[in-house]
Amino acid sequence: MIGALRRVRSEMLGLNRRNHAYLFAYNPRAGYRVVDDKQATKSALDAGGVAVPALRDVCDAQWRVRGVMARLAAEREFVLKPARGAGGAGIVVVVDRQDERFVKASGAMLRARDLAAHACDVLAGTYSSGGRTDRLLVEELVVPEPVLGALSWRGVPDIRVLVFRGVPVLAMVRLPTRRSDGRANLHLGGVGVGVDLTTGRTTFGVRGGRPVSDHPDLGRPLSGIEVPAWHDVLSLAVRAADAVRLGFLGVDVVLDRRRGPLVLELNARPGLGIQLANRRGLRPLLERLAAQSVPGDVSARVALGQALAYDCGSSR
Amino acid sequence: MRSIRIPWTAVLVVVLAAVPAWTLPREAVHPSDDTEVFTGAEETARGATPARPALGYWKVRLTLRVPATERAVRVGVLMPLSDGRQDVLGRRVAAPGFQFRESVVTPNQRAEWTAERAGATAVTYDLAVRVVETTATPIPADPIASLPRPPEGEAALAPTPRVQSDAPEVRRRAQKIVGRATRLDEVIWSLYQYTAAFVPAADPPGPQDAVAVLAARRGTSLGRARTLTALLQAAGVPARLVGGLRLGTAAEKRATNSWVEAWTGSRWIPLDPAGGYFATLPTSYLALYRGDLPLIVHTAGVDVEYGFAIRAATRRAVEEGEEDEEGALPAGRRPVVRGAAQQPVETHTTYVSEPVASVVLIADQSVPAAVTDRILAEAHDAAINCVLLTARFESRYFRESYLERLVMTNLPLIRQAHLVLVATADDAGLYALLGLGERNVRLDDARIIAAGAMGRPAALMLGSLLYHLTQPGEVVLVNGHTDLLPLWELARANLIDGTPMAEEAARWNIDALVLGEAGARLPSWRRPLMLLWARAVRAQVPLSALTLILILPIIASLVVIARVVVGLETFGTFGPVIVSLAFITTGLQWGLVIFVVIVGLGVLLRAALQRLRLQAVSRLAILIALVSAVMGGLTLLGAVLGIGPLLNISIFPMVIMSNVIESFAASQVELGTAEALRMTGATLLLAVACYLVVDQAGLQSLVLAYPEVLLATVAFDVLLGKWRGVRLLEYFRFFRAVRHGRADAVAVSPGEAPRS
Repeated sequence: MIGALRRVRSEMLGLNRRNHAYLFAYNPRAGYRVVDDKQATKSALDAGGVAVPALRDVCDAQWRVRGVMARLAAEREFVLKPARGAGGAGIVVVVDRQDERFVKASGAMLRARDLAAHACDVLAGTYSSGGRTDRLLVEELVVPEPVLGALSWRGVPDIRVLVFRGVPVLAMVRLPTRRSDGRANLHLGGVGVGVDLTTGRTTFGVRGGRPVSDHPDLGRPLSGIEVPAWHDVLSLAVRAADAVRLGFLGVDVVLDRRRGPLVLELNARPGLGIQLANRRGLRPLLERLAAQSVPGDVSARVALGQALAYDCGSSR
Repeated sequence: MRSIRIPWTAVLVVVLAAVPAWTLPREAVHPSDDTEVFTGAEETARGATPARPALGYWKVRLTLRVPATERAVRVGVLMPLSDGRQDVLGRRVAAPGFQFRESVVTPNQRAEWTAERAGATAVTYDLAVRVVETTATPIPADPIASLPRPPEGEAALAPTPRVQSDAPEVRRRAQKIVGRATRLDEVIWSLYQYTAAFVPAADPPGPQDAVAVLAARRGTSLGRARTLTALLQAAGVPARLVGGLRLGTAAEKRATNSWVEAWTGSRWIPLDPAGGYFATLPTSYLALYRGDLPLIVHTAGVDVEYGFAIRAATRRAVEEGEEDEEGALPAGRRPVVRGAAQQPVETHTTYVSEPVASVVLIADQSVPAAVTDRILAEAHDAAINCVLLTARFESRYFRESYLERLVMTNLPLIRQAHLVLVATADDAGLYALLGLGERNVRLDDARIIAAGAMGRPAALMLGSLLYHLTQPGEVVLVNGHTDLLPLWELARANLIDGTPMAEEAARWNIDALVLGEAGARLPSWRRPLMLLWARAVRAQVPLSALTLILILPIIASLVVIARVVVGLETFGTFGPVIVSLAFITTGLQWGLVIFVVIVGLGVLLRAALQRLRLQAVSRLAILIALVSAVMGGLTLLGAVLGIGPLLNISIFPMVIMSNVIESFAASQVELGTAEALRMTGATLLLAVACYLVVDQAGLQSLVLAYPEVLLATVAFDVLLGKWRGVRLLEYFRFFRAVRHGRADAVAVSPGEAPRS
């Protein structure tokens, strides 16, 4: 009991230490501005040669809504996102068409004028933090590949890779559930599953701070599943971190059936729940990494991350 | 859409609840459909020459015999109050089967018994009174035209059906009697002489109203008193009728007596034309009520009989409640006039005719009523005028503000006091006295004794401040809550024997800090600070508000602890601080109720508004409208139901509440309902913690004595801001992961590493 508490203190990364030792020290203010705006993130990643879901259209003023809607009339599947939305609020996923109507991922129907009203809301800042005016992004729809897709209740699963100084440190798969309503966010009730950095195999599931072994809605076991294209996922996350010049960040990677790994989003204040899914603390990893020099080559850094994860894992 | 209607329903409920209260008739002195008993018979004999000594002690028992009846019965009697001349030292009521209620109908006290049905019952009301003979006071020789109004205003000049001061014959007669006299003393004397010469009548020879008696020049004491009242009023002198009892040993007395009181600009002087007393009354006169009112009112058709039994008594019997034959007074406790129910805020006074000193006593809930009663009684014995101001509240803020209000309303008394004795649980009483400084009241030679739990440095600062502001003879501060009685002994010894406070305190083993010419002093380098506070008080800056502001950094540090060390997630960083300040004005219980009601309704409305898809700013404005409607409604509810704390709601920070609602909704979307509820709980928890800290007694004085504490809080905040340790709640969060961490890890991912 006491020993466990002592290990929490020495191995787990708490919010205080995350803020002081990592966010303040490794993330410059300018980096946040890029990361907090999805459009800016996308263009920064594009410029760095990182694959992202294609941006089809941007609407930045109420009077442009009609034009955007007219262009959407020809589309079959797309995703509407507020550029500054948080926690997945205000995202509309259209997966199909029936005559004049759009079919949402949940199966609900939308008319063109519903979409237009939603667009106006987004522009007015309904979903942006602080109520600031916002922009509406129209993105290509991501269709999850079957391995992780089979473990998700609707929605798109993603892989959160924690990258420190350009080196992947920990990773977890985030699976949508019925309770999280198709969103992959852990605090909404999604399931997080740790991934062994060296093998790309899932380890333990966690949901709401408690361990789970099976998907709560689908009943499939969560551990021992090999994440496809694991090495590509890791090197994509590393290149994404390079593109925005943040020292400590979470990279959300999705696996598209057609295009492979894509970077969906970056988070400059990554949550610490990833330690729960991996059942290991970040501090030994981060502290060793902070003390050593980091190679420039991407695949060398991925290898360094894997070696570190293995070393720290077997050291005890 | 249903939830939108909720606030309007709430407002409607409030309005409906308010309607009956508006339409209720105001309670009259006596309900008019009842039988009124003015008096039994009249006494015609002129009063005996005033008895000596000039102090009379009496025991009076009123017996009401109510016959058996199946009907609801109500009997109301006007009973005497203490005034400058007479003191009611004890009351006891025995009324088997009846509900008893006593209420003050200014300027009288009304006792009322009610019963749904009654067997034959004898209701008794025992009084122990002391009557002081008023020396004949000279009437000022001022012109009537410049006479100040009496406190009761125009009522003392208004004609009534039986005192027809506006009847032409009354006016003419008054004019004729007064003649060319314009001075108050001449007018009153001539009118008194005129009515005193009327022929007495034992049985009412006819209607005893002013006009009839004036025409017949013959009447009962009531009739002649009415006539004199009417004449005085017609001449422009405010006058009122007094109904009373002539005291003399009697087994069963029904006769009451009437006289007149005329206003002479600063006081009421008695005039009894039937008894032959001018500007004085003997100790055998007991005033029962003022105004032309029936003594007894009872339900019509129920034959209520009454009688006064009167016995002369001794000082010991009356004041010390010494047991005699029937034991008219409860034994073992000195009698003191006290209302039926104990109110949180009360004022008691005992007056003596020739006081050797006067004392103001300020106490809170920490002083039991038995102690204050005893002190009042002892003050009486020692011929000390005593005023007792009490505010009984657990909340420090309430206590202090009510005590301050009491001090403010009793300024003249405090100004005259030789001694102010403050006994509160903490320093609230001292703060209340600081209000004197705001009004520039000098206590000159008076002593202030204050007891309460306070640190010595804080006491020194506060005491010096009080000393500087009010310039009393001495300020004696007693740390810790000492028993009030030794303090009282100390005060009494000082007042009567002139024993120095410090000496007396040592004798009683009281740890006292004496501030004065020769006493302890504030260190000289702290004096500028004290003078600064004094300037603030003189400039009408409320010190309690100022210290509240200075306490804020301390609770802000508390919030930092809660967030950085404990790891609580709340709505807004300092929202809890402001909510806690709101709690202070409403008290904790009501504060929580209000918070939950407002946030609950707000979240429901917010959900309804979501469908309208409004912009954030207008949504927030609508929420503010809702919050104000709820607060206004609750305030009205408080007014209707008489719940004081709800009336203080107006200070509840509306905008903060709207923000809490908005944050709740935002976290509900982003983090889920459970998390949002958890955050609400954390916000409330922190607000309550902050409230408990702010309402702490010592804190206010601490920042007053050591404002540099603020620098310490800043240093503390810097330290916590640099702290990298694991938050308390994170231990819970990560505990499990560490517990069954590594063993499983090896089992699931056996060393398949690319390199070993």
